[in-house]
Amino acid sequence: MMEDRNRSKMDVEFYLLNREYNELSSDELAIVKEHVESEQEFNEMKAVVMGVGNIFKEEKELEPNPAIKVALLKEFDKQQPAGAYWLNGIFVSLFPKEKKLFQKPGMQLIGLAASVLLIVTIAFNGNTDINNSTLAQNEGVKTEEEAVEEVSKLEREEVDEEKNLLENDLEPIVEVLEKEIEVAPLYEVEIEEKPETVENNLTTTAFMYDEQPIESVAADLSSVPDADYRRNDNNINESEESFNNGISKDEEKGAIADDKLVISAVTPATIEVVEEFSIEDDEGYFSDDVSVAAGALDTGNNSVDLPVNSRTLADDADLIGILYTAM
Amino acid sequence: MQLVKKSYTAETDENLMREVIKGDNLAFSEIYDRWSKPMLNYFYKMLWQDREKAEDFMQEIFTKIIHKPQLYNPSRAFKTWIYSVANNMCKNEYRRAEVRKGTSNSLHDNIIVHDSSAPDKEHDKNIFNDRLKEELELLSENHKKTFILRFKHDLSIKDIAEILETSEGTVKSRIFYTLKKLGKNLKEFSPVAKTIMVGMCLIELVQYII
Repeated sequence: MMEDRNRSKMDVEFYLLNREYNELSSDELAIVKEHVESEQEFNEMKAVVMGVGNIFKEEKELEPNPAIKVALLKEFDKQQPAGAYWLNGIFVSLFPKEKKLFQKPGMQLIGLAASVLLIVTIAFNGNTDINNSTLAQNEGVKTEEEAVEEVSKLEREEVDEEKNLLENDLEPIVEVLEKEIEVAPLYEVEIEEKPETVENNLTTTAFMYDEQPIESVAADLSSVPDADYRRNDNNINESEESFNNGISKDEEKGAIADDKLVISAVTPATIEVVEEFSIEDDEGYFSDDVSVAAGALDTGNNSVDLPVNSRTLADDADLIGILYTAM
Repeated sequence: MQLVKKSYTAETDENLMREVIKGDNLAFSEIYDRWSKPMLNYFYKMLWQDREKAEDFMQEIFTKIIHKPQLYNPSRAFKTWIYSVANNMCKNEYRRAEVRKGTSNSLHDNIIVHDSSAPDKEHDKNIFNDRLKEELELLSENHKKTFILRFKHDLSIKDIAEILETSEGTVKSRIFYTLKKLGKNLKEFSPVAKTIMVGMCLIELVQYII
């Protein structure tokens, strides 16, 4: 029976295939009668349609020759530029549908490979007796991969050890460096301060020697015209005299400033003693000071009224003793 | 990297032809698998049931697809296009056959002409089939093509009209004309005629027994 998908109810063919003449409704009969004159004609046409359907259905259809496809595919490959080779393309050529199972090239190749494998297996079977005790066995030999793995493992361990050693060595260095970085400014400070400290120490030492007499004598100095004179830079005579003694004015001032208290400690009564002491002393520091003080005393610009009751050092041995102690 | 190309079994003919135009041999192989058999049988029917000729024509139509795939317009149904190409090839062959016929003044070798008046064979179904084939061969080219496309290849009226480059009305009228003619020529095989003939045979048999 032919399919009705291409036939509508407006086609007479539909009624020829699916209805008997006496089964047609009035509407269907009206459609049929537009093309068919009588019931006999309808039946004749129906016989043809049914018979044709059976003929074409039962008719053995021709199968195309497989060689035509092969030739056409070759022609197609010639015509088209060489493209990608697909695995299923290879599969199609190895296992064509048209050929029988054992005529397929793929099957023939598989058979050939199996035969070769079988022959090789049989041929070498007698010479590969593993259990033969005469064969040399070397079980301890490591494979190449194992050897490479072992070497790489050792190398890794060495590298790790080196790393650890480097880290351990670096730690104290880093600590020392950090400490140095912290300490360095302190040294600088100390180095800068050192000269001052030395000077200070010196002055302090000097100060310490005269600490007690300073305070007691300083008050006396303020009342002494000599002291005022020493603070007055305009006193030319004094400067000249100082110059004659080999001391510049500035040095003199510094000496005065630095050793003011020392000088102040020298009272008019002790000038001679100091003078003697200064001569014996190797340092010109005190001798200069003393000379300045002595000069100052000798000068008569500012008259100094020495107390009448003053005593010489020779008169007072105790005073000398105290002085030595103070020194 | 794609190693195995996708299967084309589910693709439409139109998509396959797009791939063929691009040069895909697997698409061409699929097209061939689908259409080689219908084309071979169509040519076989249309070209005097000559198998060799049918195979030559089938090969030729696919060679045309290989060399000039761009002739196919993908917006058109592939089925109607390939049948129209086949139809044009048949037309050309008919013309060549006419020329040969004019020179040799002989019928085509493969056309079997039977004496339709042979009453012995009319009872058998196979005889009806043979008669029908004979009647089909005697039809004009256009009626034969229309009839075969309609009843063997099961194409719609619209598709047949497109393939044969004619109107749908013409296709319908050709089909009815062919059915009427075949029906008249084979009226002895109609159900009514069969019943009468079976009855007559039975009467003859009874008379013979008595």
